[in-house]
Amino acid sequence: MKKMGDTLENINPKLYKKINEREITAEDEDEDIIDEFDTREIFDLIRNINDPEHPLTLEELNVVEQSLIEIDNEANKVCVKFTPTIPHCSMATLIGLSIRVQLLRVLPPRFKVSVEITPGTHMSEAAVNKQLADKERVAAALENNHLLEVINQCIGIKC
Amino acid sequence: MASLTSSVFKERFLDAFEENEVLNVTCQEIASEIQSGHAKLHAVVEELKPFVTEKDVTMREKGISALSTILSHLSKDFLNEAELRFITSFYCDKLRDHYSIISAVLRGILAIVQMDHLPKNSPEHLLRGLFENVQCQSQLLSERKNIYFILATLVEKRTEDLKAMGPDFIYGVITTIDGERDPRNLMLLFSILPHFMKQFSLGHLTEEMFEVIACYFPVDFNPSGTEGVTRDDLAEKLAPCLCAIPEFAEFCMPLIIDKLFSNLRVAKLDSLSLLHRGVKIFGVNGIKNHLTELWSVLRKEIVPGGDSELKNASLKAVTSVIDVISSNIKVCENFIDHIITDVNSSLYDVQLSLFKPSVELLECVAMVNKESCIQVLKIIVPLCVGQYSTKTSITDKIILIKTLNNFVKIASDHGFTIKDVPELAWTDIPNLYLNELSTKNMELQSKILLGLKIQKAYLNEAHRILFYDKICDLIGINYNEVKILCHSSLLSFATLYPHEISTLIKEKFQLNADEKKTEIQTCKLEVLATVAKTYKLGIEVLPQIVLQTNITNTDISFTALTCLHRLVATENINYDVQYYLYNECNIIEKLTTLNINPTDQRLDLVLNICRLIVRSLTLEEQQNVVNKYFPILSDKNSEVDAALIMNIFIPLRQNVDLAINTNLLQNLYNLALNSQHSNIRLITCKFIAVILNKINDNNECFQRALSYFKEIINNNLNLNTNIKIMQAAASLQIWLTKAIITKGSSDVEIFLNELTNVLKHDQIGQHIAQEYKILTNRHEDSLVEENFCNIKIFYKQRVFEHLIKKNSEFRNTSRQNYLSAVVQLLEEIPLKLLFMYLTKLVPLLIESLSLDNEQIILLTLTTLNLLLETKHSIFSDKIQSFVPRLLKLSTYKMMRIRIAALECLTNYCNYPTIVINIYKQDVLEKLLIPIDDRKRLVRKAAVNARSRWFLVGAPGTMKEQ
Repeated sequence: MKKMGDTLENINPKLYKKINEREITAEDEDEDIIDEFDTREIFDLIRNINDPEHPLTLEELNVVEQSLIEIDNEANKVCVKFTPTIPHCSMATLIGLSIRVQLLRVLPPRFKVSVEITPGTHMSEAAVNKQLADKERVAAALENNHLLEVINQCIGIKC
Repeated sequence: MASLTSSVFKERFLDAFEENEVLNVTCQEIASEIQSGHAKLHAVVEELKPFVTEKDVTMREKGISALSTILSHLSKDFLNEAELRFITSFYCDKLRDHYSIISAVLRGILAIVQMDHLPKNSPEHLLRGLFENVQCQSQLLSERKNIYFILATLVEKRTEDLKAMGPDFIYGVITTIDGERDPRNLMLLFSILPHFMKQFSLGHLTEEMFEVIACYFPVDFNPSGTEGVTRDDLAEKLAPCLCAIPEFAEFCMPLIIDKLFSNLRVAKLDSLSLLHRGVKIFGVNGIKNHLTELWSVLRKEIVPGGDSELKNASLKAVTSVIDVISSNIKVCENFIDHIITDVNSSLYDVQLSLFKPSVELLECVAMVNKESCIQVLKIIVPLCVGQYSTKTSITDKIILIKTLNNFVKIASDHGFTIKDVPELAWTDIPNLYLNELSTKNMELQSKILLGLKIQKAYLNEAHRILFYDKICDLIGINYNEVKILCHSSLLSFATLYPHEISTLIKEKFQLNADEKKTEIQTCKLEVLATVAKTYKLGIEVLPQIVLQTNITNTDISFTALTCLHRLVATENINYDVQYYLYNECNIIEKLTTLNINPTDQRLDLVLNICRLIVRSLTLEEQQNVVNKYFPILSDKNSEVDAALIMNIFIPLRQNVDLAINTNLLQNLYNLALNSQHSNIRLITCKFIAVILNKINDNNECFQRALSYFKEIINNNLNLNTNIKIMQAAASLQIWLTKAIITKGSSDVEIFLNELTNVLKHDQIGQHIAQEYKILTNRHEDSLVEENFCNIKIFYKQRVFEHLIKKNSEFRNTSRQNYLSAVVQLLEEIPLKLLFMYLTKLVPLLIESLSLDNEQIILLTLTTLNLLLETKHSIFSDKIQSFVPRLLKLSTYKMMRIRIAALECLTNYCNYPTIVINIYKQDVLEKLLIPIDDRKRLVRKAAVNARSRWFLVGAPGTMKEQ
């Protein structure tokens, strides 16, 4: 993982336990049952995104949590809240952007996705939320090759 | 006469000079004439004289070249000292000659330095001449190579003579090799230099020597493909040069530290491997002044340790450093203290991210030797014990116990326990563990159990009694991990304290005949079966287990059989369980009298146990078994009895007498074709195959049995009456064919042809296709070497090749059967073999994917997925046939096919960007459908595929491609 600067803002963050792989149930194997999207499925899509600073995933750092995900299958809405490790974390926008890009890539386009900071956990919460909600700005960010490179590294599947 | 031969030589040379090829041949002929005594060397030289002194450079070059070639073809002990002295001075002279003849001169020198009788002072003369007159690096590649070969030969054969030259020789070598750039020459040099540097004292030239090779470190080289040398080859060869002698330490250590600061990953990895290798040679004196600096660079790779390859290499380096410096107690203690002080602050909160890498580092340090272990334990044990008593969260406790377990294990590997360290005598780890064992959390409980098992040799009697009590309480729990650990703890304590466990078993795990609760009985049985792996307890409990097999409660009987099966199938038991069961418990007889019907789930267990036991018997014992049971088989008896006896007979040695009579054959035929139970039919087929496989081809019995069965099969296949019987006959034919091909009889081709012909049969062709893989099934356990069958090593290859060759014979309706047989076979064929046939196979795979047969498509995709992982270029070439088909299949009606197709698509991402990039937009577009699939598992596979395809040719991913 490429370091963003020489000094890390939070050198020794607290680690959280990873949940086990989702167990495959008999219903999952049954061709006739329709599986709805649920919060666990959305969580699985984003929990392995890497933190831009540490060799750790967003799940291990508790930046994303299953309980902070909401999904409404009928209304086609997904809402993900994330919690930066420290209130002045300068990576908040980048993390939000990574979550957003990942969901754009792997969720069906019928869903309207919103990615926001958990209320009260970051100093510039409103500004970051506004940026993440702005489609134009997200699209513009993806035109920036350097930024795209960093995001791809965060999302990248380890092979 | 002399003049005649000489003029002959002269003419031959003149002819030969016209063309280089001819010259070589001519010289070779002349060399063998000299060798055999038909010609004299001095005569030849005399004849060559006009050429080698000729004014024209080209002619002179040819003359010398001729002489050098002749010399190179002479045997090494042919020339005597005087002749060689003369030739040496000749070549020394010629070294001063025109630059264009140097090549020929060098070849001559290379030939003579290999000679056995080279005079003592010749190497020096030659080398001085060489160093003074030939600028090595301005020569061509092949000349440089010859110079290195000359040096290598002399260093190897004439070490003493060269030592007399003193520093001049060292200096000469340094100037000769300085600046070499060709990878192949470097590979050569790097393999010569370590020996050279160890043999000759470098003196004041040590630093110069080091600099000449250090300039290649770390190796930066992109192979163009023609050399056949890779960067890693060079790096691997260079490292031993850089640390060849202890004197290099003062130059090499700063180099390593410097390169560890580099931004290049490969530079760091090379430095770490050089460090690992070097410290052993440099010794404590060579590295002690660099330790502080070294640790500070190593540390940043270990904690937090984002790159695991770098981290592991660094840990390995730390280990080897400590190993080397441990000879100096003071230095070693200081170094470890330094490490501990640095990571100490990270050890106080187990949930923070630096805890794990810090502990991992300390574990590595502790593993080096007892002293380093004690030094670490003194810090880590109080820390863990202290935190354990104050922390309340279960997660914290689990991590702490895991950490403690690891250190207890390391200490016990060094042969001591934590209490043995005077400073830690106050601790009571066993008690802490035993107290905590009553926790409600299963995960914590299993970690504690594991810890106690590790400490087994260090628990006192009071501890052990307490521990056994706890285990008896826990063993009934249904949490799998705890249960398994309880069992394995009992087993490992049983090896150390057999009497204690024996008493425990008698008190707590005695099987009660009137026990009503199945679970309790089952649980006890499992405990007994576990401890039965030790001889002392085995002889106590095995008879009890055997008794339970014919109990009326089928669940208990089933468990007892399962336990026995596990025991006879386990390989690393230190006594002969099979023989004990056979001889002392009469197991075969007991099992054959069990009254079970063909559909009973216990049948398979009984069959397998019998087979495994008979397999381990000696020839004589097997013969006794045969004599006892054979009559049952040739008489008409119940199907189950027959199946049982057949199973007992499958693992017979080849020379056990089995009187095959007509009755027997008829019985077998009946069972194989007419039995109502598929498992009985299958066992019979297997039995027939095993018998036929073991009898010699020339045996009259074999011919009779074979023609008997062939006739039955043919009759039944042509009758077209009962489809069930036809299928059974076809299955029997497959097994017969398998018996023949595994033993490698001469008529293998005939049998295979007949079998493939049945694939065209309109009624049972499909059935044969389904069963075709029986021929190569690796999970099959009857027709195998363990059962004393004849198995030829390449029989699978034969089956596969034969089927592939038949490609053109199948059209229209039978085509599908053929493809089905092929793809079924693929699962069983080793990848290496598939590789040899890829060009023939890939079109068949593409064809199979277009069929409308779920099973064939699924099997094809499974194999394709494996093959794609090899990144073979044929899949790049055929990408236009695969990717569109895979995309189409990603919306197929069967979900496992959708998943398999998506996995193949994901796999395609590992192919070169240039090949796959044109499909990127299309794939991303089409994958929008499967990411909204109705099944979650399909969506998961689609998500994987789509995320990977987004990265194709995207910034930040180039190095992965």
